[in-house]
Amino acid sequence: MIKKKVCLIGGYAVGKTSLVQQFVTGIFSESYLTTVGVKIDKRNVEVGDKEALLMIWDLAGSDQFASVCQSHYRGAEGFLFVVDGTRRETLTAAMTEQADIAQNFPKASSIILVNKSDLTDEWEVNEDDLQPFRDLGITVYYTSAKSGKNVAEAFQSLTEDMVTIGSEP
Amino acid sequence: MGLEDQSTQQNILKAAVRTLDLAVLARSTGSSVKDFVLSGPTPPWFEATFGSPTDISEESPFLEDFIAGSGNDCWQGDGLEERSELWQENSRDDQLHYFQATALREGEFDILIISNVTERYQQDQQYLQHVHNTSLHQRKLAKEHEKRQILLDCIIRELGSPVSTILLNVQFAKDKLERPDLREALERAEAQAERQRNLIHSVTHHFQSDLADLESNILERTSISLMSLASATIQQYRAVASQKEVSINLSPTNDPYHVVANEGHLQRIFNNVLEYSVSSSPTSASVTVALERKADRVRAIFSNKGERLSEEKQTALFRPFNQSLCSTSDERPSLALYFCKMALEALGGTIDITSSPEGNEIWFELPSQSKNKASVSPNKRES
Repeated sequence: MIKKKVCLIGGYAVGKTSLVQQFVTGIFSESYLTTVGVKIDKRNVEVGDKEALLMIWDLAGSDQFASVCQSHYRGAEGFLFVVDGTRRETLTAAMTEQADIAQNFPKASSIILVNKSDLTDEWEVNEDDLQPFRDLGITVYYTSAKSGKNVAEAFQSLTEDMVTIGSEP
Repeated sequence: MGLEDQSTQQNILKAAVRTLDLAVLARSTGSSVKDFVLSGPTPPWFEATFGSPTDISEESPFLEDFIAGSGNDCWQGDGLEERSELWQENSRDDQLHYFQATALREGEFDILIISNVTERYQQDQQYLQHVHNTSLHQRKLAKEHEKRQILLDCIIRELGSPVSTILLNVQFAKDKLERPDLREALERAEAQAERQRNLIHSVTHHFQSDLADLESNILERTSISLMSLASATIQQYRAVASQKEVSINLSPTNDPYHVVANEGHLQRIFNNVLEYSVSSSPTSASVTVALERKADRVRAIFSNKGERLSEEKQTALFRPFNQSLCSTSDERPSLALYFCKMALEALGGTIDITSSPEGNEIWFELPSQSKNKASVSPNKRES
């Protein structure tokens, strides 16, 4: 089995833990519990006739009180940048992180998850805002950890990308 | 046996390691991960979480990463202590633990210390949770403020401007007319349009001053006994209620029901809700006010025997300018209940109504003040 390390990156309260929980257990909780430090979950994903074991690193969201320890990115082959679609500023933070990681991990696969897509009344991120990511060839998914919309699809797509890159000579 | 004795010193060290809830592992420098052995007492959580010392890398992806990364930087490199972040592990007996790893080099040995930091995690978590909740709440308030400003602009543009145009045209037409009966009709229309314009301006100003007042005072919070406030407000309002032959009863209790809020706002909220309950009550009936605890919140309930409200009216009750849905003047809360909703939400509370054929229960909730008063943040003063 192929083992792949994936890191979830994004500001606080964007829904990283909820996305992992939805993907791994299919459960969503309405209450917000700040993540401190690191939590690692595992899930198998099939890619064609191969099976990959995803080691999903849920890292505490960065803010002015706590920053993400970059040493956790070591060995990661995939990055999921999570943005809260109802808080535009979380997109700016994701852009900065993405640029940084692209420089240090040029071979890693990346995907943008614009989460909380069920909260359409409070939506603040538009297509134009996401164009810079698309221009870099990064796939953007509108996800909802609450309904499960696009969550499995995003992890599947990232895994396929990682497996493809991994099998390149 | 003295303190210099080696076995005594070892026993002292073991007691210290046990008290600090640590697992100390060591290996000869340059050997493999599988060569780590426990040095000192085995903490109760070690086996259930990491298995044997030789399995730690397989059992814990976090440790695997730490040993290969930061740990190696210390053991193979400069020998400077490396410390990990906190991480979470589920033990085989389904217990959640939080750990921190430290890599040290001592002579010819690589040392790995795993500390159980569950207690520290809880403190850090509580602190960050509070910080994040406060930040999210402030952001929500700012967004609400923006929405209200847009609403005000809409009122002025969509209602005020057309009325001004009508007024100008009526004045123009009136000056051109010779027939006295038509002039009189236009004078009446002019007076109505003028009244309408003044009304829009007055509602807008009232709304704007409510907003400004709410936002400037929202951080000035004190510890208030909701019971004392309820008792005083009801006492003051009894005379008004008696004009409608409505009696107000306060359910007795010994609990002061302390909450942290802005006193002026809380008084106004209580007054507005009481006023609505009395005005929507049938004459010669009673309104009952009761306070109760709901988990970590205090709820104030105002019950009357008023007519059942439709779902639509219940929802519209806390929205601004919902007069179109109200058939009688008694049902018209104008901005009063909307103000209550805004003020309560700013204080972390909520307001709602439950309507049934037996009557209506309008209630609001606020977070109760914790016994150690820890819920009051440093920027909020205590009375």
